Amino acid sequence: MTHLQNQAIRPPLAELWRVSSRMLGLAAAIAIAVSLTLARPAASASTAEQAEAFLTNLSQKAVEGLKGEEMTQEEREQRFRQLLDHAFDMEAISQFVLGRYSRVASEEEKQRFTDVLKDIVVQRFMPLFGDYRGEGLDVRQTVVDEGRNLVTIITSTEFQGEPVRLDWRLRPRGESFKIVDVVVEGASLVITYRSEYAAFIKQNGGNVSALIADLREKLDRGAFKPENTTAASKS
Amino acid sequence: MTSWAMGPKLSRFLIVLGLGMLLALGACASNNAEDDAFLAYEEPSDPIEPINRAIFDFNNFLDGLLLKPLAELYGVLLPQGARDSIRNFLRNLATPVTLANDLLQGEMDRAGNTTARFLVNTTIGVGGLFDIAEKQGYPYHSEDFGQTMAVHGVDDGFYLVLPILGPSTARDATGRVVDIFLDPLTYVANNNDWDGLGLARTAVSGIDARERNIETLEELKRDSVDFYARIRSLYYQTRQKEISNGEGDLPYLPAPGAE
Repeated sequence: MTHLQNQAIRPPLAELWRVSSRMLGLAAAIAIAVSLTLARPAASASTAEQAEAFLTNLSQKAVEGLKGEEMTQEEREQRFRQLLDHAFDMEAISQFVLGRYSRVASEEEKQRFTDVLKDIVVQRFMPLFGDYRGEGLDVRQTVVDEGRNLVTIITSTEFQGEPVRLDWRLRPRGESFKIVDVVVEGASLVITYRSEYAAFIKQNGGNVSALIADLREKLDRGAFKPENTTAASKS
Repeated sequence: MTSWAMGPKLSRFLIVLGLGMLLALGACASNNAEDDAFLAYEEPSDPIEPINRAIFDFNNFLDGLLLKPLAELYGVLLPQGARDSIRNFLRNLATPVTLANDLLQGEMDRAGNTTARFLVNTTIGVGGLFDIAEKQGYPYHSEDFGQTMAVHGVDDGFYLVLPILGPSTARDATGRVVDIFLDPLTYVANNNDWDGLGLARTAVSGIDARERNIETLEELKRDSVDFYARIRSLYYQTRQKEISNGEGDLPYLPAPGAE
């Protein structure tokens, strides 16, 4: 390398230095911006904590509120329904499950569908609380998706010796939350219902009332009652 | 579950069928896998629904006649520990296929996990009878070529109910065929004329899986208004989770209420 070339290189080096110091300034600006954004996950963390507290509180309330042995079946059911309205967004769930058929259903059909869904939840889930031994929820992770306005609480439970993943999906509602879905090992309750009910309605010529009638008939037979409610408490 | 040991004629037929599907799939490889996954919940692509429903009914009939009684007998005859060991052994035997697909998906961590599991369980776990690795923090997972194709952007094609084997899609059925070729056991069996090996393995894993799902399936059936549609939806959803290897939240799932 000659002396001349060395000289020629110098100015660009100085230029490079000036650019990089400007970049440093930029980097500092970015760092500040990032730390400001990083402050937001702190807000998210508290959303996560609030959501977890909501769910824990709910399961405690359900166990305590439904345990009383002197309670009649009617009182029990009434309490469960109150809890259901308080904790689940049944209107949103009902509309989601009806899917595109909510556009063709009459207001009266939509109301009857919401009612039948609530009755299904009561028949399906209320007996489970009688046997619930009240262990705390095993929360693995809580994900706050602010863009989607959705909180997912991932819990783990055991079923026949195998770990089973159970996700609770919540939407913030004012100061509190409402549960909008329960996802078992990646299978969503509301999506499964929606897909199945859509197939049934389609097979019945787009008639929502036919579905409601079929579900009512199954309810009367007690088809939604869990199989062995005592099996859970046996082990 | 696989049934390739049924004879050379059937395997040749399946290969031709598989290749045909592969070609058909090439034509509809997706640009936007996420959108398709989303749509699958709305309306699973099921152009041969009448045929699928007929095969589904046939499978259910066969299940009541043969598979379920066998599974119940298996559950009564063997204690839980023995059944677990049978499953562990079969899972360990399937390691090469899982490993090959881990690698084809570029999942190096999972490939390492699969290898560690195989080494630990084959030695300390007495030829795979005991899942020691699970307790040491190497949980079991399965991979197949259907998932590998999905990871590389191939969409499911359409829903397909296979006779005896049950719910699948054009892509996943093709994947099954490819997995046969990825499995060293196929060649070992061929070279030694162990015709019954594949069939025996399929039968045992089928009976074991059925035994583990007796109550679950019963409950799923009891309160369904359309059992076929329910199973179809569940198949797509569990498959989607397997493909995404989802550990965190499942962002592709739609949810009720305003976003």
